[in-house]
Amino acid sequence: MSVITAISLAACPKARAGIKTIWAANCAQVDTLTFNATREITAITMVVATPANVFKRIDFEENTAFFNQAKVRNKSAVNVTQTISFVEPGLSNTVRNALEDLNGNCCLHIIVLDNSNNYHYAGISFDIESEEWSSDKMKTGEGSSNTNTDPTADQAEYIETVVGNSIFYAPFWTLGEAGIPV
Amino acid sequence: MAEVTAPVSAEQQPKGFKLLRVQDNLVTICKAGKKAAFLNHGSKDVEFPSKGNIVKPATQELLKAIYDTDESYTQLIEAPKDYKAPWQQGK
Repeated sequence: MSVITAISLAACPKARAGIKTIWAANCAQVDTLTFNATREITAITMVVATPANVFKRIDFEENTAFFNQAKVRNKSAVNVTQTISFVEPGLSNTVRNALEDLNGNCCLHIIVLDNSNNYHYAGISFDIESEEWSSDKMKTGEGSSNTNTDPTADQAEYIETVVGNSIFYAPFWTLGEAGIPV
Repeated sequence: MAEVTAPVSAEQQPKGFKLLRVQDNLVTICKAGKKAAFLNHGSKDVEFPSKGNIVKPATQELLKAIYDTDESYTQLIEAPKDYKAPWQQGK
């Protein structure tokens, strides 16, 4: 009988591509975000005047969604364009209506769970000097509803994007899934 | 018959830990120890359908547990004078 000797975990960076899930809320529902000294979000204060004031969860098919943050420098300023892109396979009234509701929001806060189990809080800018944050008016961008053509190679699907311009890359969210009000 | 004591909100307690912001229909989700905690800033119960529960006004016990968890929670809660949280030990 062979014997396998356990080896220690290597310190590989958590770098798996893609995202699993997003949670989206309208900016007006978020009253305050609390940051710690290492610029992570440690608390969220929500206005709960109506039962609907929570984050809405959207799960994705494996390897169909991404969160891209493209940085450019404009003279002395930096701009980061945050883009979330995802595919919803199959055309249905349920998904159509959910996308219509998402498109009805012109200021979104989105918590993104990537495939390395990092949580990113998109749709806000945090100024480290003043320790103030503001909403970026993140909203849906380009998208499509497409039956496609070849049943042996394609699928019918919706493609949706959510886009915003931020002062820098999205801060990390430390509360995990248990701390997301859904 | 068992005596039932209504919870006393942090707002109603003159001493001890205090919320920096007292307002109805405002709930903060943060951490108390390793668990997520729901902190009601008002004096009335808040229905929070997300977790299928009612969030009662904050108690002194909850405020202390949250305050002790992370230094950033000094932005939410004021501790009694001379109180030292675990994260302040040795400072």
